[in-house]
Amino acid sequence: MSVRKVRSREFNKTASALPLTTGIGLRTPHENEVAAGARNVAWVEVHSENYLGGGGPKIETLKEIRSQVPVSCHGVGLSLGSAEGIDSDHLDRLSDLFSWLEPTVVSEHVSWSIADNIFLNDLLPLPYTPESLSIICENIEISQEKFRRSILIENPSTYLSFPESEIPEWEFMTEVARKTGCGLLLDINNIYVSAQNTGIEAETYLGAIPGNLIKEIHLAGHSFAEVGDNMLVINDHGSTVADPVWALYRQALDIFGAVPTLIE
Amino acid sequence: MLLEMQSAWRVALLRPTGSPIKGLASGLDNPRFMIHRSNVLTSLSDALVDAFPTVYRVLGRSRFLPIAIEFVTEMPLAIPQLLRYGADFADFLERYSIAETFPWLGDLARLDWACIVAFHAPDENTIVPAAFDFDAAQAGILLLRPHSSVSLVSSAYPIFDIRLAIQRHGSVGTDPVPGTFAVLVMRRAMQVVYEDLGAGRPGRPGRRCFLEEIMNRKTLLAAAESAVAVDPSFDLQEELVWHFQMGIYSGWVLAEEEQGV
Repeated sequence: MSVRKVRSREFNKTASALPLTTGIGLRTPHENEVAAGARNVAWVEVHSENYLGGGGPKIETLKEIRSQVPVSCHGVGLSLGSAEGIDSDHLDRLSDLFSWLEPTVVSEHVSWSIADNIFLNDLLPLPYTPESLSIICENIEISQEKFRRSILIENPSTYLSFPESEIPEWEFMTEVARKTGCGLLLDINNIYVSAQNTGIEAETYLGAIPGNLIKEIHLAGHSFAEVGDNMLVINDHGSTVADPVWALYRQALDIFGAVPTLIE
Repeated sequence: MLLEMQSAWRVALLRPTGSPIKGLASGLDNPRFMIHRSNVLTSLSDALVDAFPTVYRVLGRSRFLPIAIEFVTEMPLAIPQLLRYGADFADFLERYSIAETFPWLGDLARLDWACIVAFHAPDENTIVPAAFDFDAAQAGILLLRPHSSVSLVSSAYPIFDIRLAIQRHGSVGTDPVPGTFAVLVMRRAMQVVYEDLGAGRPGRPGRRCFLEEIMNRKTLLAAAESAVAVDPSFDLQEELVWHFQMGIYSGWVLAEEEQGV
């Protein structure tokens, strides 16, 4: 079941911020070590959907970690770009999670993953059109209303361009933030991947995003795949952060100053 | 426009073979669309690999993946939660000829799935004997409510031993002898635990029969009567001590009250 627009509401836009240092993506093999305090981490990020089971050791461990360090909840299932609207049951489950976990930050993606009530488990691309802009803004407003907080949205890795796209991605992201009051999670690796695959200028991208909207940065690895006659760069959370991405990150810090940064 | 495009993409993403249809929707005529199709099929079939580790070990990647991809395309995920993907996989597996080679494969998948359920089930308190205070005359309308982590996997094969053998040795060895078997799976003290209720184990077959009846929402009295019918030595009072020690139940309700709710 999906929900449509509810009335807009003002949120506390000055939601608590992550520490101005590096955090890590919490993966299952490290959960117990982090919970035991054996790892000196400033903050962690978890995938929200991994903690919706309702109970058990995974949630108990997360509660322990939350008592020690700030937690950022990064979602992959809300499908903010779905034209059919937001899954209200999923919204309820996430809202319950955020109620007890009280994450410092909640973030999602500028993408879609649900169509005809089927979840496709990929961060699928949106054509950057006024229609897409209107739909994602509506879905973000519904989500923020439900969560009673503003969220961050992350730029995607792009492998193809839509001929009907008429808004540059950075303008699209900025406009969404301006209309909904959400913040931006800037994934530097994704900018690099999209630049390599679709020919956008990474430096132009960084220069065009208003720094005051950026509340978190992601760094991750990538790999390469041959598709047709082209060698594409694929977002790959299994590889180490590549040198060109580190270089782009340094440029980002020069422009935006220090931003809480996650190594995925 | 976006609604139609996303619907067309959904259809094309869940088609494991064939080229995208040109002109059907924006982006589908781009060869790079295949990256997304690969992401969808691979990530969802990998979720099944994670959920069914023992079945995967029996079949190996080359036999497991084609079945998993067919499952993904025929029974895609409706809830945006990978943890919930695979509840119907055991039934699906039994459609395949491989289930003739391994007639216990579906039950093995049910056992794998029961572990997932037990691991992630909501936390609930369990009944302690002192709190189980009911009028004996109400046994005919008393329904015990199993803890949300509890599953009972019944099988015509010694499924507990089969799973153990696969985990330890990677194969079953000699062909298992059919009979009447069941495995209780639940979470205790944050650990998934298994209780083999197969023939020849202490307290069986009355215990297995009693639990099957309780899981099928039979009353305490009806479950006890069924257990006695298959095992005249079944003693309800003694049996319940073990059940409460295990923490199998999170509550009970009188059928009349339940109907009134």
